[in-house]
Amino acid sequence: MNNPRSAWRIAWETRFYRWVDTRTPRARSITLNRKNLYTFPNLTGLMFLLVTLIIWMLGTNYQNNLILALAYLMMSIFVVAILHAFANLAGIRVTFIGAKPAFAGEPTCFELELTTTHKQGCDHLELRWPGGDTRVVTLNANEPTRITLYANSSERGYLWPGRLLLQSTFPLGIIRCWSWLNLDAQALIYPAPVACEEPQHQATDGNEEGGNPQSGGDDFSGLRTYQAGDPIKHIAWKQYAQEKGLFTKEYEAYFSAEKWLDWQSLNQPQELRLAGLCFWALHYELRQIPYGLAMPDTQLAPALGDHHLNAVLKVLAEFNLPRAGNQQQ
Amino acid sequence: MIARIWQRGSKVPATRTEYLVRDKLVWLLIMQAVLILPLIFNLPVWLSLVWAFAACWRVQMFRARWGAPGKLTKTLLTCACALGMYASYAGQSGTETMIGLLVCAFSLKLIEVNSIRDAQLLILIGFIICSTQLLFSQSPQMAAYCLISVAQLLASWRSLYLTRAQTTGARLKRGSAILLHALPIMLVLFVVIPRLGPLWATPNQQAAKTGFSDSLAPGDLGNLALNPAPAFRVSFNDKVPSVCQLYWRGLVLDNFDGRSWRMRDPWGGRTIDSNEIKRDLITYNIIVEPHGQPWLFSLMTPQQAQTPSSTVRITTDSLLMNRIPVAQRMSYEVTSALQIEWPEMPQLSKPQRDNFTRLPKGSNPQTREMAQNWQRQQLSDQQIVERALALFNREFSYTLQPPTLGQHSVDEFLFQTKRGFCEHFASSFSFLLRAAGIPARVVVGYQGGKWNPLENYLLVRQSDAHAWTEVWIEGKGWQMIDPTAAVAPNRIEQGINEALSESDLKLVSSAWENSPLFLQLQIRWDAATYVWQRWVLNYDTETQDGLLSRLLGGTEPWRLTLGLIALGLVGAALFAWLLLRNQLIHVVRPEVRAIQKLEQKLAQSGHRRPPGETLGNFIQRLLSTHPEYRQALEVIHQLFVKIAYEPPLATQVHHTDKPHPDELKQLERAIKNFPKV
Repeated sequence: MNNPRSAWRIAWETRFYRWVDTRTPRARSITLNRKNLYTFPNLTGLMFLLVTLIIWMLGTNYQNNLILALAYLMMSIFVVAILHAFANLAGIRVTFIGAKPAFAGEPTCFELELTTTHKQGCDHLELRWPGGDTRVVTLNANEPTRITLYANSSERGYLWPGRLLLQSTFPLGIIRCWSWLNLDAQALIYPAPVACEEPQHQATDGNEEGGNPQSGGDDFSGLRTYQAGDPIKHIAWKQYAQEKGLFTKEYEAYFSAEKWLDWQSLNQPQELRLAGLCFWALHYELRQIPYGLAMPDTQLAPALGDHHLNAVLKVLAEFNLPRAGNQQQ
Repeated sequence: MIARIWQRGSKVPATRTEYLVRDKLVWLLIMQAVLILPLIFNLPVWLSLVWAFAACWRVQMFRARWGAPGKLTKTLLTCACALGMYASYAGQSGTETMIGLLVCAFSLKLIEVNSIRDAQLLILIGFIICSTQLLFSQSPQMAAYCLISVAQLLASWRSLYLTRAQTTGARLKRGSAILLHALPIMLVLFVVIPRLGPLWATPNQQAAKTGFSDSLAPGDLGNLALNPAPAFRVSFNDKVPSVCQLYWRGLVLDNFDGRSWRMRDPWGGRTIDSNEIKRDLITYNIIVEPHGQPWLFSLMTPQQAQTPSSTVRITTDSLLMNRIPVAQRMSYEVTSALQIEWPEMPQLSKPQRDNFTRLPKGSNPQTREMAQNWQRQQLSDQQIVERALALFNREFSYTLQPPTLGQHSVDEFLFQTKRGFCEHFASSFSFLLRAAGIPARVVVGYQGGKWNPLENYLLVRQSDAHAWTEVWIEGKGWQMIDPTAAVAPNRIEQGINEALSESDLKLVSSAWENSPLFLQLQIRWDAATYVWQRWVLNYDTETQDGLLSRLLGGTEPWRLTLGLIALGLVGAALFAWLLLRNQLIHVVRPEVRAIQKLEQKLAQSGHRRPPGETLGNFIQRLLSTHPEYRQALEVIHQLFVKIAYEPPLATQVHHTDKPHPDELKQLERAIKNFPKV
């Protein structure tokens, strides 16, 4: 925003997209027609016009009617190219099929289905999300074609990849015909896993509350350096008395074979906590250790499998999201 | 320019789709060949070799035999071409140099076309090359070739962006579709867009000089008589003069050096005598072929001459002169007075009189002797003219193969050979009169022409070139006298072919050229050429105004706007019809159509099926009166119900639109065989 030009540009784009949106409201399936298709000559088109002008001057100077006719023919080809470029895209129906969830920072697959009613089909159609890679596709008449488009995700939550840019300069490359589709497409983005200290389940049922952690001597697994926030009752007082330092006793058997991903047990900022829980969920799933999830507002019983993992990750992704309206900006 | 185009291509394409693939290159090669082909005849040979070399290299590169040219090779090639350009066009800065440079760049660029962007540049140059084809020839054939070139260009251009396989035929078809859609718009633009004059002076193309030159020596016009090329075409605004008046004056030759007649002083403005009484005014439009000379042609005593760029003047000798040599086909309109009368006697001044009777000393003594003899007999000017004409009429004959003449050409012609062509007659006649003290001059131009009834115009060919004499008669002014008419009146009345002997005719044309079919075809072809010239090549501001006011009743802006809007509406309606015709035309199912035929048969006997009655009810009603058709009608009904309402069995599904092809055939046959009631 410190650059005045970019500020002007952003303001202009916001205004422009608002206008585009009033013409084509967000929908799962959008048909391209005169309402949402725009045509304008590109650089090659302007060069073609320049060549037309040169030929017109040649014809005028030599008073050669046939050369003038050629210049007019080129002018007409330019006009006809507008219609052909429009016809190439008009009638295409774009439907959002679905998107695969991804971890934040990874490219996300969006699956789209394209159909055209134009008899000649559609040639050289370029599609891309803002900032994504371009895909070139060809459509045959009345043959639904499925394509996968990648968009970059940056943070967890629901990703709206932006307006889908469809464009083509077919047949002559002098007229660009394009549309920004406000597709109702979104993908669930999981938090990116970040390694952290293993979450400890704060006992919530009566058995373990107040129980002597040292009762299960077999379960004592070792000592580690004391960190701020460790429960006081786990402090290895014996070692402290021997002046060896402050240690915390670790108890493997403190939990059963089931692990709990406990929101409360991690003492970090929100996003890092979610990232850590994500890391451990994947970790347990990989090791085939059943795990449950305990969030302030939800609780998932320990289990294993893709379905469970997805459910856990979905809860993590959706946790405490900002207002839904913000994602569109 | 070459260097810049050369360097542009060195940018490496960013993505895979921007690279040029093999089939696209083939299209570019064909496109180049089509575009360069008509130019080859007008360009130095080495340029076509450069193209062949470039094409070869490119093909070899794709066969992975040769590598891409390195920097050194490119530099060497460019230098070689620059040298070649210098050698061929040194000192010229005209159109041909420009075309040579373009073709050179066009060819060299081919070697290093890598990406779609390079190919695009090639296509854009292609369009300019296409326009230069039309600089050399503007015939209908060339225009057709140019259209084919554009179709080829468009097909190649479209192929650049094609991302799926398509057959050659489909590519050509889709490319031509763009052209076909563009043509109507082009026609409208051509008719409506105002024409401008030249924006700046351009060097003239070198036009071959055809027709006669500014001097006339024996034998000059005889060669022209063998040339059937058109000289000009004339259309008359209202009345057409008689054949005897069709003397198209081109040049006045008034200086005789003993052997040839020359033009003395062509320049000087015409002094218009306000006392003249002009009679028989006639207005006509001439489209003259380029002949590389400044003079134009008109009938006797032109009064007014107009060209779009007003470059024509009328000289003191009543001739039309263009400011520059006629290097391109041009059209002009002239008003001539076939007769002029003077209320007061016109007078030749003394120097003028001297000039028109001057002869070189010592030449042709025999002729001088005869003329002075006549003078001594106290004959009037008029009588001397008649005597001379009578002489020609009596003893001379007309031929295209005259004997060669020596130093005293007039003497030899008049007293020995006595056989010659119009220039011999005109030349010796003028000499004779001058020797007798009568002012005389030779006029060269064309005589007659061939009337084309298809488009009502007169075609004058080079073979109609003619020479005659103008004589100053006291009290009458310059009078046209054609001594050839005295010898061979057929020449004037029916054209040159009628005046010639068998052997001469063979010289002019072969036998099949005189066959009626060939002549008919020739007339038609020339009529087409004339229409082409008049409506396409010479479509100028004036014609435009005329056509628009005829179509719209005026050329005011509001009329043009309304006209364009109407045209646009018609176009839009046509377009909408093309798009919607499938929805507008109600498709009748085949079995229903068959039943409709049956109903037609029955309707003849008064059995009508009101709308809304089912077929079953109709047949029941029919059977109550005509039980004899029970079997036939029941079969028809069953078949119809089966086709219309039963889904086809799985085993019967054919890959056709009709679900029951066999039953449909049976139904159609049954209805065809149904007897008339």
